[in-house]
Amino acid sequence: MARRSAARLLMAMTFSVLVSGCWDRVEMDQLALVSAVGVDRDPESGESAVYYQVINPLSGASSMMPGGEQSPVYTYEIRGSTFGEVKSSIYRILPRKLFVAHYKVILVSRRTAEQGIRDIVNFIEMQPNGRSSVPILIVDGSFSRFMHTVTPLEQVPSDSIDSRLDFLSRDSLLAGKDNRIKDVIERTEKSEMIVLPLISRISRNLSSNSAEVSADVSANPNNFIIEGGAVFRNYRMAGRLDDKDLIWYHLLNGQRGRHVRRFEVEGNQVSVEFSLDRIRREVVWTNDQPVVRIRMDLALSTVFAYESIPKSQDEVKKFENRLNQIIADECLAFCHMTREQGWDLLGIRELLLDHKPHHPNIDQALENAEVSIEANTRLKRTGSVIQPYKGTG
Amino acid sequence: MKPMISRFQFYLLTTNYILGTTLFVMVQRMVNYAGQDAWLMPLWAGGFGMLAALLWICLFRHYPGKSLAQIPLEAWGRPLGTLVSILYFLFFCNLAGWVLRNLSDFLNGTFMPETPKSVFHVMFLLVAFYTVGQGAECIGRLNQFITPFLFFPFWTVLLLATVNWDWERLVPVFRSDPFAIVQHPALLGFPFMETIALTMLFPLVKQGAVRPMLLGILSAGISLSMTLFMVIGLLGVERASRLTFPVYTLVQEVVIGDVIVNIHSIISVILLILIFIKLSVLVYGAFETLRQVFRLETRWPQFLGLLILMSAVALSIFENPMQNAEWGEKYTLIYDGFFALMIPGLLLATTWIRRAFRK
Repeated sequence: MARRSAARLLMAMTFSVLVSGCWDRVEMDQLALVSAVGVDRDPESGESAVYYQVINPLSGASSMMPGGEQSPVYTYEIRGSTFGEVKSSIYRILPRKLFVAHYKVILVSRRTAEQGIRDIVNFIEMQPNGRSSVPILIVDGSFSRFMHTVTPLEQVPSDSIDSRLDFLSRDSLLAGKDNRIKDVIERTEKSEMIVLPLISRISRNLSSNSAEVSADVSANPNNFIIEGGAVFRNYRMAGRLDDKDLIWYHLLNGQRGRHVRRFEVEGNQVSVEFSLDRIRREVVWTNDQPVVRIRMDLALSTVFAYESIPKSQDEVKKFENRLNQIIADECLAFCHMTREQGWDLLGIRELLLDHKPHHPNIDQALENAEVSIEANTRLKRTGSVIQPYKGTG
Repeated sequence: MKPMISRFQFYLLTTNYILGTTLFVMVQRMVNYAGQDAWLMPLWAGGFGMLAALLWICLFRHYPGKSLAQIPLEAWGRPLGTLVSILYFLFFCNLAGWVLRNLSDFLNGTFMPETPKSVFHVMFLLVAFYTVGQGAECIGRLNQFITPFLFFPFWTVLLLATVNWDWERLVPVFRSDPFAIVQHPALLGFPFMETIALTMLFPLVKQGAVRPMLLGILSAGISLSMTLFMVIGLLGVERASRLTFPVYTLVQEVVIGDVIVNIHSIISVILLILIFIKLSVLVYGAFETLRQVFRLETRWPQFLGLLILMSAVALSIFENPMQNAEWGEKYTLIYDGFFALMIPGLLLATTWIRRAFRK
């Protein structure tokens, strides 16, 4: 009996050899956790520079340590003719295991974007641990300087960008939600166009010293700005939109963020906040000429309308009607502007194809398509005072 | 043989067996073939699978209490019957190798890129042998016990993924190719004709296996269809037709707030267990075929032989995914059709003829 138990014990012990979970474990402090990846390709030499911003796990908590404050990230720059080559030679300068799976943002220089980002997108999508659900941003200005910048307050630049994009799409319509790699793929593969956020105005005196940045009271000189949008067609940057156009672009593409703008209504200036409730797009064909009707339901809020607020239902109706007209006109103007450039930013081609998949000449139909935009606003929210104070003058 | 698997257990076994590797291997291919209408393919194929199952049921009616390995012996005599049973044995081993290879490819391609493939093969086989060694009842009960832990997490995770849902990805409906199954009939073979391995358990089902098998195939077809529907709505045709493991990727991309991220480990575990169930049934099929045909008593030499054979098949069955896809496209239907339609059809025909003569 004893021998039997001993045999069983021995067998159980041999099985522990199979429990191999730990023998090639990688601890957190053996990883180089990448927070952002930057890509810049020289059009002449064809050589790519890839920047990995690796999070420094010792920053933050260690400001009391001897040696002073440490940088929140370290930027590793490595060059090679392809991304695969870059990745396989990174360990000439990087002492830890490169871990890209949890990166938050990918940044591409403008000149690279103009040559095309298809290779980048494919490379990411192909990697087993690659992640296509991160935003991709275009950097207009000195790319190397930008990649060696730490930002105030939110010290890791990728966190700063990610969080800003989030707020911008929620509170200003200056950014949308469709700016991830997977959105680029999906839209482009359907021959649609896409607009990606742009980082610009990179000042000359950007600091790469985090101690300097956190000791300086003025946040602006050590910062960069998310401004404008880069228009992409077939994985290539084809032009840019300014902030005003971006708002209409995002609105017409069904983004739900809020935006505040000053409108002129019956001689009064009023700052109104609007957000999209619903958007409907339909196509009517008359003698092979398509008419695309876009109807938007918008919710209005007068929380920021310190100039004046409509007093009666009658005034509210007038106010709404006026805004309907202004918004529809501006959207239509935006639409005409983009069509003059030859851009189909509203996805009208896809809409026509949905209706007539076997249309013989869809591009001709797209050119002939007439677009009408109708806005239907409803005042739904007011601020904490019924009427602004007028003073006694 | 004493019946020991309940109807419900057999129903769940059929469903999980079919879902097994299909969720890994076929999703991308089906979207590639049929675009937005890919979700119709499993419905057609499931209907066909039920017809094929009716053929087997018809055959088994004539041989009550016999398994697939014993019927050829009885219908065609010892020499020819043994040959046919050995063919089935090889078929099961081949399928088991295939399943193992799909599994190791998935693990190598996602989160365990450096582990040698054989480690996965041997480990899974050892556990499968242990299960099979405990008898068919153990497979049925294990599957019944574990199904809620597969079903609920799977659909919860897919429902969580609906944050990325877009109806426009599914329109226009019925326009791309609703009958793509006619041009690309591989799905009829894999997984639906492969369900013939389950007939090894037929005599063990209490109160008859007819209804649970048909319902199981139907449920699997509907589940596959719903999964495809969601894959298209969540990833879009463009990406779903190119990604190697769309179901895995779509769950990987779920981000809800900052809290629910990286939940793809759930889907991996579900897929691994589903594969294990399919593997157990196939191992049972191979093991029982040998035992019933050659009336073997000692079990361990059989298991050792199967371990060597199946892990070797798994390593050498194809060299790369392209080869696998091409083979699937060209020969799956013929290969599976030979075992699932032709042999049972011939067996049935000879049985009928013999009956007619006897009268």
